[in-house]
This record gives sequence, C-alpha cells and structure tokens, in this order.
Amino acid sequence: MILNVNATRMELTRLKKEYRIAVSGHKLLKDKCDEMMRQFLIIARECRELRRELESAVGNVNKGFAMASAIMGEQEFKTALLMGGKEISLDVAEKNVMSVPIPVFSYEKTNNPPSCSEDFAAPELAQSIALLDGYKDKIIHLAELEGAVARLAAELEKTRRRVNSLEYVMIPNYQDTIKFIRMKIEENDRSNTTRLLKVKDMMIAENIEAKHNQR
Amino acid sequence: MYKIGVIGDYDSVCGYSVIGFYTEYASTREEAKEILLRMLKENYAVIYMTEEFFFEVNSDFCVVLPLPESGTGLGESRIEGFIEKAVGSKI
Repeated sequence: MILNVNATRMELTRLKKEYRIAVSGHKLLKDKCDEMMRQFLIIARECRELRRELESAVGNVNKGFAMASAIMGEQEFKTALLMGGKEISLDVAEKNVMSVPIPVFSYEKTNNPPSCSEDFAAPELAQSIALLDGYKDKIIHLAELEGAVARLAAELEKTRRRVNSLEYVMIPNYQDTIKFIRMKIEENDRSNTTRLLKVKDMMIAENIEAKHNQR
Repeated sequence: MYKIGVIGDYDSVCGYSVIGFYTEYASTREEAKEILLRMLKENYAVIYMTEEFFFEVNSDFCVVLPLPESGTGLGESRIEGFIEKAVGSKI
C-alpha cells in the first residue's frame, strides 16, 4: 500500500531513512524473538515436567491427609494441624531474560522440619506433612517457572506481532511508497524535459519567422 | 519480605499451613475471588489456588497459579496455552 505522502525529494529522503531503520529494527527484533523463543522453550519444558511430577506427588500427599483425617476424626485432625510450622517469608529478586524481568524466589530455610501435634496425630499425618515439606522447594520453584513462562509468553507474543507488522506491513509499504515517489519524480523530470524541448522548438520557429519578416 | 498464599477448600489446602504457607479457605468461586483480590492488595508474592477455584488475573508482581494437584489437568493445559500463545501454534 502506498502511504499518503507528497511525492517530493524531501519525502523520498525521509522515507528512505525510515525504511533503513525499519529493516535494521526488523533484523534486531527477529534475532531477539529467536533467542527469547529458545530460552522460553527451555523454561516451558522444565515447567511442564515439574508440574507433571508435582501433580502426581502432591496427589499422593493429599490422599495421605484424607486417610489421616478419616482415621483421626475431623476435630482431632484440625487440632493436630493447628500446630503449624513457621511461616515462610519470601525474598523476591528479578532476573533479566532478554530484557524481560522474571521472578526469582528465595527464603530462609530452617533445620526444624514442620510437625503436627503428636499427641493426637496419626502416623499418616506426620508422613504426609514430611512429604509435603520435601516438595516445598519444588512447589515454590514451580511458581518461579510459571511466572517466567507467563511473562516470556506475553513478551514473545508482543515481539512476534512487531516483527510481523514490520515484515508484512511497514517494510512493503515503505518500498511501495519509495518506488511510487521515484516514478513520480522521474515522470516530472521527463515532462519537464519534453516541455523544455517544446519551448526550444517554439523559440527557434519564432526566430525563423522573425528573420523572414525582416527580409 | 513477602508471603505465599494458598486458597482452596479445607481438604485440599489444610496441609500447606503446616509447611509455612498462608492458607485461606473458600467454599465457592465467588468467595475465592474475594479472598484473591484481597490477597493481591497485600504483600503476597505467590498465590496458589485449587484448580476448582482458579481463574486468571493480571498482576505485574504477584504470581497466581493453580495448585499442583491431580485434578482436571488445568495446570498443564494452562502451560500449553502459554506455549501456544508464544509460539503461535501447538507443539
């Protein structure tokens, strides 16, 4: 599509400059997109595998809790869980992946494993809590990975749109418009030359006629 | 310092309070939504929700994700969705 601009040499120079910027921008964005895609796929694959692993593992832990609840009775089960462990305070940092900030979580690990009130607890409950505590790091790492995947996916989509818009809309538009202005200027030049030739012919004819009249 | 929150029905999330996560119990989706919106205003860095109550929210800082549990497979299909969004097709 030809852009709505005046067909002048100034516009041609401006458009040529913008075209060069669009081409180099397209190349840079495409490189960024490729590298981001590579890193995204590594993180997404790790994230998918970790979720699969955790889903089956935590499912078993939940079964353990259900079993403990059935053995102990609802009231005792709730009372046993009241003796909760120390709450985690999470430290959040950011890591840059191709200028996309992705979250990195860390927390202070304690040596005392969480436990329930053992006066009431069934062994299944203690086992389930120990298992869940073992998966705690992985559960937090999963959040880190899913956060990264979500942010990278959003950024990749934006970058891909930009690359496509440059490749399929802006660059062809610039090319068409530059070609149109060039042709228009060449046409004007040709028309000027023809006009000059015509004027020259008319002047020569006038001179000849003037000479004839003098005789 | 930030907190880790878990929202869901009692049976699914009760164990998480013992390992140091802040748990909030909900019995309906609306209730879960209210709790989530409140948590987003507080200093939570991660919020897990059970698949039953999970819905997408846009938050720049907090990561909201479905709790890993053997359920409907929502967590995995969500990751597939991200991949599809990024790549432009299913892989």
